[in-house]
Amino acid sequence: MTTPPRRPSAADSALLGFAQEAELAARDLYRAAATAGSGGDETASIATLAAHHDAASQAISSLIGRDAPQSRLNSIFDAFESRFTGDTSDLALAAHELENTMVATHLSLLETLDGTDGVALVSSVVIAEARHVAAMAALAGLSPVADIEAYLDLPSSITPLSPEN
Amino acid sequence: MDMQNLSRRRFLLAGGASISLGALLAACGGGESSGVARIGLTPDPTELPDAPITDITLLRTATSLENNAIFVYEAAAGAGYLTGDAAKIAARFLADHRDHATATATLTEAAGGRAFTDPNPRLQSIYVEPALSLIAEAADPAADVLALAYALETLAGATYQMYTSLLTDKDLRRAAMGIGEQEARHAATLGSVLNPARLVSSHGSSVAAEFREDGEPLRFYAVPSAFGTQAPVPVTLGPVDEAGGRTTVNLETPYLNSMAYEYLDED
Repeated sequence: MTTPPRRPSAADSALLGFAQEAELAARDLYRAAATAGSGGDETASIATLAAHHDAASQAISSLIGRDAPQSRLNSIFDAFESRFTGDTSDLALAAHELENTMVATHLSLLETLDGTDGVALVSSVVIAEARHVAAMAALAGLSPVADIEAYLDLPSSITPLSPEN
Repeated sequence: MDMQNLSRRRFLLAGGASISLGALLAACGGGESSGVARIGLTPDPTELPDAPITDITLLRTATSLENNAIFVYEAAAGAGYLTGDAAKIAARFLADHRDHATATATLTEAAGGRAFTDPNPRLQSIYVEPALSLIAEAADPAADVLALAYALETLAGATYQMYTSLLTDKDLRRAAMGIGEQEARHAATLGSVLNPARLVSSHGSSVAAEFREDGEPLRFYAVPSAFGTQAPVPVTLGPVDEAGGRTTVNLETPYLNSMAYEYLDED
């Protein structure tokens, strides 16, 4: 088996650019939620999740340079905005769905990327965003016993984002 | 004149060195061995086996780590350390690790290798067995089991994260990280139970002052950082010693000196 390249290929850069757009949409959704005070007692955690998605977006930008679009995926932002700025339960359940979608999206990227630098970065983002899912399940008040699937399982109903849809 | 003296001195020094070297070579050379170890007699070196890091090695090591986790959860259940909701959560985690072990073993065989069926021997000896011994002496074994589980799950996620970029077969990446992301969810679930007051750590993140935490990071968070880490995972366990401290074990992802290489099966 041939050793894969380290640096992103041109096709990688396009996929990673799309991932950056998704990260920026997530960042802006959490920022909107923090501004609206939707996080209640966990507003600090919500603001920090905005920073985490921003950090992911910046890391992608560092990897692909001028190929980074530096703009958010408006379709995602628009689809989730009203729920992110509702009450804490609305926010938490919407964020839970969003983070599962982000995990599914990044997992699908891993099958396609050529360069291992991109694979390493996306893998580290997947770990963080999988943790976001469980945190949002807790914020939603779901039980880690009775509702443990909400913490641990990536629902089959979740569709990964892709540049084509 | 001075130059001549210097040259003569150098000549004499060089000659002395030559004589000394000659005497040493004569002492070492050629005689019959007395069987007593001395300078110049060395045993033949043992050749290290060829141990490339292949996809099969990575998958076998992943299985071995899953078996470490299974061992810990089974030991905790057998000792009755956990009860109630904690025991139910641990039982689910145990079932997941059994599934993961089966999955990585199946992938190993599909890649043409032989599945590893034991716990990782090095991790077992330097982390798992010492940790379980400390827990057996702890004032609150249940709290220590949960702390160890949090650390092990974090380590497992970090291991898949690292191995995914080392796999040469792209088709294996999603399967590996599909498991790794569930390990991360295990850790986060425990973090949310152990520290429900603050789910996401602000340490190391760029957030407004009003949202930052004061002081040192806490031991548990659902989300401790913006990215998955490759740093050692510390866990503090066991009884309080005479100095008032407890033992901290730093767990590290299995790498060159602790992988389940294929040659291990040949012993």
